[in-house]
Amino acid sequence: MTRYLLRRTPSILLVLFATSVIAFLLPRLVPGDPAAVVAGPDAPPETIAAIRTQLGLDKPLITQYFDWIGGLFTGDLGQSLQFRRPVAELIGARVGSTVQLALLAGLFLVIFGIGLGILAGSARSRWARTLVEGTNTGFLAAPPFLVGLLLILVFGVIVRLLPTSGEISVLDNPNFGFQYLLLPALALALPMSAGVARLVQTSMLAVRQEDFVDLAVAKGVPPLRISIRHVLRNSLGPAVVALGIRFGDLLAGAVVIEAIFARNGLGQLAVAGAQGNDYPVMQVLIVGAVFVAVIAQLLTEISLSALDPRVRLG
Amino acid sequence: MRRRYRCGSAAAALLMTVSTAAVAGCELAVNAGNPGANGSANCAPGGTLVAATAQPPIPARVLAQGAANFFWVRAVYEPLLTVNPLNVTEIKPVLATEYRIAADDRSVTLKLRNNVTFHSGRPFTSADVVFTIKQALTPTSPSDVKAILSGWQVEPNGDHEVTIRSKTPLSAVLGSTLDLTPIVDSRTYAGVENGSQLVGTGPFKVDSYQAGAQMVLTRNPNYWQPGQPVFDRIENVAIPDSTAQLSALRSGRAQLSFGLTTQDAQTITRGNRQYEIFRTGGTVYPLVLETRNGVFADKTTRQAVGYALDRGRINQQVFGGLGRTTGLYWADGTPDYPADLENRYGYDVKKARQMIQQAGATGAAVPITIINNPVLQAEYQIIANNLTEVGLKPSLVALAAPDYQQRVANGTAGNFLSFRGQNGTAAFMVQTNADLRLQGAHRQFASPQYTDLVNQVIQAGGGKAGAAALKNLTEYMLDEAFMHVLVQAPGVAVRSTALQNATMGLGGLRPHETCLGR
Repeated sequence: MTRYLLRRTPSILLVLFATSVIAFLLPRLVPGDPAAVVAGPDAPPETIAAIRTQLGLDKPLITQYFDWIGGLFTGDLGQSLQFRRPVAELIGARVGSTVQLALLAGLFLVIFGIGLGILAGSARSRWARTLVEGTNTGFLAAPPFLVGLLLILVFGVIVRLLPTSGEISVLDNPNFGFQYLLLPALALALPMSAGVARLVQTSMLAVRQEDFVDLAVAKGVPPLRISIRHVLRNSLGPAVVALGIRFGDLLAGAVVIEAIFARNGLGQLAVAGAQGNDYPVMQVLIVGAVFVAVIAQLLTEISLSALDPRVRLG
Repeated sequence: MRRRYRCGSAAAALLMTVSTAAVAGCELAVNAGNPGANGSANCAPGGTLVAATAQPPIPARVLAQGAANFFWVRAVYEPLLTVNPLNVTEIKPVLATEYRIAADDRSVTLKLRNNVTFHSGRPFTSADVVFTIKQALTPTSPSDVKAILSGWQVEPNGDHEVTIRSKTPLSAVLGSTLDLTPIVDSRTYAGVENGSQLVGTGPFKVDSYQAGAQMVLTRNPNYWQPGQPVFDRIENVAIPDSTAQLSALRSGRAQLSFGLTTQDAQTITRGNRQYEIFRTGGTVYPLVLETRNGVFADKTTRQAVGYALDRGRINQQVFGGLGRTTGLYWADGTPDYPADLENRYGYDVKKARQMIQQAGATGAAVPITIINNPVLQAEYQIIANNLTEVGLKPSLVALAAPDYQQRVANGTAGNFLSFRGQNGTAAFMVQTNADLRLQGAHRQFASPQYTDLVNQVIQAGGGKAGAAALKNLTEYMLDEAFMHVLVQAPGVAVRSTALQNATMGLGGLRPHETCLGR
């Protein structure tokens, strides 16, 4: 695995360099002046010009780029133009919220995705399969924001059982923190789990037709053992790939879910950064998102090779 | 009384997940708010006010008015005088005990309270007034009242008195200008920009500030006014999404909310005894026309637009009927308000179409720039319908805030929709309002006559001369029709009916006596 990681390092660095250039230029291609936002809606042009100078936005682009990259190597991610705070501090204050949400949603994604997939891929009775497939189709058709709103309506308004607005860190108060996380994590995970479940189901049905399954049946292996040891294990490859891809979607979906549930995570920071043309914040978030995607991809490939001996790293 | 659920209770059955086991057996988070708030007339001291705003707090804009700071800034920073935003002639001393305007209306002496300290413990003195006004005048300061402050000379007379001398009459502008210039602490002002040090004299101290997210305030035990504040704590949380704001109100998390559209606010308050609309101040919504080129270079076409606009429909459909459609820029109740000039442009499609035809403008393209905002989008839909009806071809240019504000400030936005606070008298507005002022204005029109008429309003300072000057300016504005005021509407917040004694200044909520009835 070390050889594999070493061989992948140059391409990862290249991707990150290209991302840094794109992340730097892309926000600046969006029309508008961040100084105008800082100055306020009634500001005259002279105030906006003075703020541009104060924020260093009048420097040549190449200077701004190397200032930023130089800072990254020394651990300085830059200063937010809107909030005048270090970007690292802004991200640090929110990353816990998003990670907690993504982890619980990821857990639900695995549980519901693989669970529903196994049920649909194993269920013998017609009504059971119809029920599971119906549930799957429903989740496939429902975007996370819709599921979120339905959950708010049911558990926040009709039956006031769980909090629907705000957050408390699980680390500060595990009980309340977990309650605050439940609905957003479910809203994020349930629609995505349907896609994973469908993959597991299709794969399991295909594997069941394989000769080695017939051989196991002929040898008298119990059905549960066949399902778990022979069918499921050989069906998980596509699901693992899908879960890896879906992890990126979890972060993207968090933008909407954080907004609906009034959580202050990275998604909300990204939205605020984009709305105010806060270049330093956007730059770091874009590079960070690509970095996470690259790591998720690496982990997917490693997991795949662990599950399926035919798949070799490298 | 708080409900408690034991293991294996309803929560587990409902959610059907392993995770519910962790929830069950524990206190429910939904029961952990302000217990017993019910809107009764009895206010018990203590408790927490959770106030939601669509924008996060922006400490760098302490010296400016803005929705982002509406619910926290006057709890921390206090002005010398405050003005009732629903009646701008009603002025009350805050950090000043009294003010005496000289007979020539060119100077004022303010006596300052001598028992006021900043949150740091340092006594408040006249040097802080001088410092604050100096900071408001720096090139990067966002102060809305720079134009007025730049004409002032502020001299301390000892520690607890200041004299302000002005080149122009003071009485018409003093209250609003000072209300929008809260006193900052000279020792810690450098930390205001990034919110690291927010030290004022107000009834609440900043406990914590999470940039872009929330501001938490706690009671100032050394506040100069005994018995105030009533709340122990204020949490100003940013909730940009309107659905989430409604959810915060409905779930009981927030007792006060600002940033919903009027329709959303009416949705939650209509027929609901738990919430009510809270008017925060006056706002004017104009359509500003590009007069330097294009179809509106012709005055007849501009006037035709005045007749084409169905202001009543905009008021009903966009502002829920809460606004006024006088067509004037000035708030009702402004001194010397020219009531006889109201409704100069009545809704008359036939007349508008004829005027457009006479001007040869039929079929002319009319792009209208707006900032991405549901209120302005809704306004545009009605305006577009009105203009199409009279033979023009409107089109929408919807921009994000950085682009819109840059174009509007640089005068490259063309025709645009905006909204501005009605923060004072006409003399105050023509010096500070971006649509009206002479320097750095956003409007797309200028003429020597306009400059002259505005200067007359500034110099008149009330009385018969003031009334005549305002009438002349208003007549000229209506005749030139370089912008059309669509609606004057109140700022709309939603508050829990349990919330009592919530008062507003121009800078925002003054939560000194605000409390929850229990």
